[in-house]
Order: sequence, then C-alpha cells, then structure tokens
Amino acid sequence: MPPGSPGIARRTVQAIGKAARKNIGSGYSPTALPTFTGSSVAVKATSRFVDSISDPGMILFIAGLLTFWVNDSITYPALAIGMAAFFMVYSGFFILKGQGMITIILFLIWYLFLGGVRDINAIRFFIVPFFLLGMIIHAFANKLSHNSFREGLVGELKGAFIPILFFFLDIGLIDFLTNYGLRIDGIAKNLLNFTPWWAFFGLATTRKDNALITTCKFFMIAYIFAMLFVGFPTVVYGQDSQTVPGAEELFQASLERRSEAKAENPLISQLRCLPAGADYSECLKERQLQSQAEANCKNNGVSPNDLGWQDCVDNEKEVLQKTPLRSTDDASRVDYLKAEFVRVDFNTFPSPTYEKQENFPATLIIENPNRQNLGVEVNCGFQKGSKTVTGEVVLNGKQVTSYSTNRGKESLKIFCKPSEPLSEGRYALKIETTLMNIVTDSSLKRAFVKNDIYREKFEDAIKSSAFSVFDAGSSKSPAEFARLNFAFGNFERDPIIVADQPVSFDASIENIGRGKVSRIRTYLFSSLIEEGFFATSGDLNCLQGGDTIFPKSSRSFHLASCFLELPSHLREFNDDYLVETFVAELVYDYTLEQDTGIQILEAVS
Amino acid sequence: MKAVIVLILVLFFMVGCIGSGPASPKFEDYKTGVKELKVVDSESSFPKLRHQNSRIKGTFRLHNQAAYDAAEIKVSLLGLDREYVKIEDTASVKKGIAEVGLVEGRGLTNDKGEIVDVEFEGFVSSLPPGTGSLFLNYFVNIKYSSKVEFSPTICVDSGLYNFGGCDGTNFENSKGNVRPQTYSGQGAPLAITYLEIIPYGSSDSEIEFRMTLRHIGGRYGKVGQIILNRASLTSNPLSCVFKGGDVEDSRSVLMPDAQEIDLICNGQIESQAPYKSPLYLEIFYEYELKMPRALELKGSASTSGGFSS
Repeated sequence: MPPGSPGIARRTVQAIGKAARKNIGSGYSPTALPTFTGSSVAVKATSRFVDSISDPGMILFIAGLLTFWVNDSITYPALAIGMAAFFMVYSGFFILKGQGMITIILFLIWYLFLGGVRDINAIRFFIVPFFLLGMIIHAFANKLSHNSFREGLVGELKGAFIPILFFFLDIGLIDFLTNYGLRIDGIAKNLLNFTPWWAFFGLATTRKDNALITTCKFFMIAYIFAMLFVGFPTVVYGQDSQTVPGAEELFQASLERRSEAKAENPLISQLRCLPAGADYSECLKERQLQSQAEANCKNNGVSPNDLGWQDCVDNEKEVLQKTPLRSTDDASRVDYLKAEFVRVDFNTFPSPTYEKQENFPATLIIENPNRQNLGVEVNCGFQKGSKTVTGEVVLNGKQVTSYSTNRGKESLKIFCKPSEPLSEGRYALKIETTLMNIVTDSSLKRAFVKNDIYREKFEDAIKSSAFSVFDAGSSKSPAEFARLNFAFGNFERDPIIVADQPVSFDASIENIGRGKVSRIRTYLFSSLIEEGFFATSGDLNCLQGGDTIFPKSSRSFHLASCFLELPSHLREFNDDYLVETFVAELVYDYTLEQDTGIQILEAVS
Repeated sequence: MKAVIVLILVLFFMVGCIGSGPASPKFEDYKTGVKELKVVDSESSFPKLRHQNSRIKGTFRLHNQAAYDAAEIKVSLLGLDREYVKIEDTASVKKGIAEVGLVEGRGLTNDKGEIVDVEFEGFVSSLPPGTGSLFLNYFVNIKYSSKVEFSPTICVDSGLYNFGGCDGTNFENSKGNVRPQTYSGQGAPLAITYLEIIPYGSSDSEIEFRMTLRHIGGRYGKVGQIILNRASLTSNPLSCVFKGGDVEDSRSVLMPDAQEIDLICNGQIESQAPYKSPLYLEIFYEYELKMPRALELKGSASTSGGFSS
C-alpha cells in the first residue's frame, strides 16, 4: 500500500509512537511533577501545561500544529522546505534520540544540497547502500561504546526512516502523487490534505501523560477514526513515473493544490453536524456537497459576489450528485490509438551535464493503426522551484513545435533545449505532447420491446442472446485516452427499453489514460440523432456539443442528461423485439507529459 | 437318394412360396413419437461469418418432420443487431419477416416431410475502426400453426356391471376404471401424454377423460395458443375444458409457462356393457421455435493489439 492511505496513516502513527517510545527507552528520566497543595486550579493547570510542553513530542505537536495552520500562507519553497527539514532533524535528534541522525544528515546533504538522484531506477541502487552505510556507521559506533551492534543497526534504520517519511509527507508527497495518478477522491482527499503530519508525529511520541496530552491524543485518534470512517478508495497509480520528485517539486504540487479552493474540512463538517442528531449523516453530506460545489465555482472563476454565484453552486451540486457513468473496454477493438513516451535511458541521457544549453532527447511512440488525422504539438520547459525556463523544441530534426500525421506508427524524436543558459542545479525537464483531434467512439447496445407484456415474455431470450455479457448495460469503447460514456433507457443502465415508457439519457466523459484531457472539441451521439431520437426535456442539446471544459482535478465528469423521445420505428414494429447498437464520437485533445530530472553542473575552471 | 432330391425340391418350393407372396405395402405410423419442424443445414445456409461492408445472403432450410402440416410460417432473424446487419426486403421477406404458406408434414404422399428454403439477404455495414471480430447473437425465430391428433381406440366401460372389460378378462376393477395410459407422442411437438378414463358409474351413462397435453418438442420450441377443434367418442362429441395453473377455458387457451396443461372431457357412452370405441381429439396450436445462432463479423483490424515500444 502506498504512503498516504489511512490504513498506513493510522498504523504508521501508532507504530511510530511505539517505536519512538521504545527507542527512547529507559534513558529518559521524566521530570517529576511538581506537587501543589492547596494552590488554585488555574495555577495547577498552567503548571501542567508548562510541564507538558517540556516534552519534545509535545513541542513538535504544538509547532507542527502552528505551522499547519499558517501553512496555506507559506508560498516560499525554501521556507517550507527549511521548516520541514528542521522538524526532520528535530524529531530525529530529540524524539528518536539521535538514533538515525547519521542517515538523516547524509540524506539532508544529499537530497537538499546536492540535488540527489531522482531517477527511480537509480534510486533503488542508492537508497539501500545509503541506509546501510548509516546503519553500519551507527552500529560500529555503538559497538565501540560497548553497546549492542544490532541495536545500533536497527535503531539507525528506525530513527532515520520515520523522520524522512514525514519530511516527504509534509512537503507535499500526497499532492505530488495525486497529480501523477494516485486516485484519492472526495472526502478522503480532503482529509489527507488537512493532515498535520508533524503534529501527529509529535503527539504520537509524547512521553508524558496528563489530561492535556490525553485530550490531544483523544482528538488525534478521533481524527484518524474520521479518516477510517469516511473510508478510502482504491489506490491506483495511473503513471509509472520515471523520477521521484525533488523537494521543490513536491512543494510545488502542494502549492498547486493550495491555490485551488477546497471543500470544508470534513472534521469541521462532522463537528458542526453533531447537533443535527438523527440527521447527522444527511447534514454531513449536505455540508460537504455545498462546500465542494462552492469550491468548484471559485476554482472556475465565479466569486460569491457574482450574479451567477447561486446558479453556479446549484449546478455544481447537481453535477456532483450525479455519479458519472462508467463504461468498459471494447474487447472487439484490437487496433486503437496508443501513445507513450519511451523510458529515459540514463546510460545515454545527457545528465548530469556541464553544458548549459544541452539538447535533451525524448521519444514518443504513436501507434495509429486506424490512421486518424492527428495534430501533434510539443512544448517543453525546465523547472526549478517556481522558476521556469522555456525550451526550444526540435521535432524529428526540424525546429517546429507542431505537425500533422496519419501514419500507422510514428516514432517522434524530440529534442528540448533551454532557451537561455541554465544555471547550476537540478531541474525538472517537462515535455508536453498534445495529440489533437483524436476521435474515440463509443457504442451502446439496447433492445426495444413494445410494452411490459413483451418485456416479460422476451426478457430471458434477450438477456441470453444480445446481452449475455456481464456489463451489457454500459457503453463500450476502445482503451484509448478518453471516452464518451453514455446510457439511455427506462432505467439508464437497463439494456431493455419498453417503448411505451419514458426514456432518459445520461452521458459523461472519462479520462482513462495517463495524461490529461486538454480540450474537448466536440461530442456527438450520431446514431441517436440519425435514428431520429430527440430530447424532450432536460438539457435539450444533450445529444451533441462543442468545446467543453474537462475539470483538471477530475478523471470523469458528468456531461448531459435529458429525456428522449423514441423514433416511431422503435416504438411500433412487427418483431417481438429489436436489438440495435448506437455509436457516439468524442473529438478531443490529449496531453501526455514526461518529467525527467536533470542536473546542470558547474564547470570547474 | 431320390427321396432326398424330392425333399430338397419340396423345401425349395415351400421356401419359394413363402417368399414370393404379394408384397404388402410398408405402413409407417407417422403419428407417433416426437417429430417436429426443424432448421437444418444446407449448402446455401445463412453465413456464420462475414466481413464488414459486404453483402450477406443465405437460406434457412425448414424441414417439417412432424406428421402434420405447418401453416402460416413466419421466419425472422430476431435480435440481429440492426446497426451492423441490414436485412433487405425481397419477394418473400417483408420488414425482416419471411412468410411461407404451408410446409407439408410427413404422410403417405411424402414420407420424409417437405423441405423449404427461406432466404434472407442484406448488407453488413462498416464496423467501428480497429474492430477485430464482432459476434452477433440472434435467434432464427420460426412461428407457425399446426395441429396434433389423438385417436386411440379405448375400452368404454360404464363400470356398472362386472363384464370383465372389453376382452372379458379385466375383473380387477369393479368400477370399470381402465388403468391410466401414457403416450410418447403423436408425431408433433405437442402431445397428449396421459389419459385416464373415469366412468361415472351411475345410470347417466357418462364417462370422463382426463388428459395431459405437454410440449415434448426440442428445448428451443414453445407452444403458444391451443385450440381444441374437435373431441369425440365414436361419433358423439365430447364436452371439454382445459385446466392448468390459472387457466380454465373450454376451447382455446394459451399454453402456460410450464408447457403442460390438463384437458378434461365428458361424454355419453352408448352402452352399459364394455365396448371398444375410437376416441378422437384434434388440437390446433401455435408454435414458436427460437434457434440460437451467431454471426461473426470481421472488421478492419490487422493486428492483435499490444503496445510495442
């Protein structure tokens, strides 16, 4: 399970507390509680508070909590990273008694100051020796001071791994992974975004026990329970990222997330809904829905003072309440459009380099067996913290950024050269390739019967023949990048339509690839229009549309709903029933991105 | 020696006489067992595989192996996806339904039963780009009307007197009840499979026949409407009623889902003494045969997929 899941969050925090307390062991001698006889309750409470905060865990808790509340206003990467680094060193030294300090310091120097190695394949070879080195040094140091060799070995591992993990979590690992395909939706995502990682760590490792600490721990457990209570969706890595992020990239991801308006903290929603009593769950649902709808409107540029604010909120609520349709891969479609960046071969890749304006190569393979007429547009840039240097693109030997192709298989050689000399340091080379005018079609099979009597009579025959597969009610499409999901019927997902009853229609668009749907050009339910279906209520233009914004933060979004009038030949016919497949087309642009860590070295004169 | 030769000649003569008698006409009772109209393969059978953007043409051969004629035959390709296969109207096909007037059953003039080819033709449309194979499941749906006759010779015994049944040997049952009989079929997919004769045993001279009608044809067939056209004992009409499930009607009934229904008939007997008499029932029925078929359509895909980078 990847970091960031609630199970891990809960177990990690508990294990950390346990491990940390064990590490502290008997070496720690708690300060005796001063005794108060006959003094006031206020003095007593103050004294307990003062006593509590002398605990390193409690200090980390308070500091972590304070920085968590002011976190949103920190936009300067160095400050945020510096604070996280400080907490990492502090927790390693004071809480974990310096057990993993050798590894932490080695990590600090390597990752923050030397730029580290960020290729995920390379890091496998670095990280183990890295920890091993720290462990061995510590173990020998332990042995020399007549302590256990094994204790030193294990202590170093525990003492370093935990602060380093929290360091990554704090500066935005979750946000980074979310941007790169980690699917955390809804409340769980919000909860994780609201997790004060260092405060949790501090509280889990407090060694004292008084009412204040117990209360805080109670709230921490309640918070963890809240995470578990709301559940956690399946985690799917949509992208096999070739690099691990640098601290600034992680923080950048965090900043991007912060720049978006958020729904209300679910914990606050829960607390506010406590008075609702029996209507608690309804209240919680409504508050979250309302706040998410408002956040979406703000993110779409509508402010509460605008005239259309309420309409926007109502509309967003309606969209959020609709579960986007899902569809399935069409197994009969064996040839379809595919595109993928070729993995960077770091044996030949020019990084690290002394060249300030190096041509960095990348290769995109496009398989276009149906020979669609595609436009291809390439952009690149070099990012270091908040600074971006644009890149000059060379495509297949020509200095152009776009071209058209309908070749069956294309190997696109891309070179990206910084438009200005890069200074020394680590950069993220981002190459964005947008495939334009992709046409992905979807199909949906439906059976029509004249009335309920026919349905009853022929339902078994229809289901055993035309809809013999499990997912017969859903639309199907090739496993390309995005698809148009649609359904219609008396009940939308029911494949048998009784012609004399109302028919509703629903459609959504789903991103199933590893990139982003950058533009939806058109969508058209061509068969329905050709057959003579038309909308009678709801969104009257539900059967076709033009430019549509695909929400950045979503993998799937609801497109249109309406009620349909069946054409006469599907209402009155001689046969017992009719079976027909309906097709629809989605025309869109899709952006694939390759991120590669590069390093520019300072030439030695 | 002479005696041996004479004996051999006499034997030859006798054998010759026995073997050279006039050939008696071979009689086969078609109206027994389970026989029905079937769809059989032929050289021009409707295709099982076609490529996109091509014409499709083929026949379904109907072979009536039942002992009765099949009339008002309607054949359609039920559930064949209209998006990909467009069946065209022809001389015999209108709006996707082919109509055939009559297909004779087996009888003295045609001991194998008539064979009729029903032809469909149309066009296979373009499949979505990149399609390998698309399998369309459908039914060859055949609806027709036919009949079944039931005509056993039974022993009618009022049960008032112990005559010992029609052959004078049945003294076991003092009330004259004849043991219930079962039947394996009357040469059709619908059959009377059970008959029980119950005399009233009173001076009314009435007798009751309890019968069961059952669909005994293939699993793809189904009996629809049943009409009792005629029921008689000798020449006396019987008064009948269908009973089964929620159904109760004197002449016409829709066969219940269980494909089994009881028929109870009452009639007058001619004599208090046991006698043999023909029982005759003629039942018309509608029948529907749904033969599952699959059509594989080949698309434009040239590869078997898989990303090679």
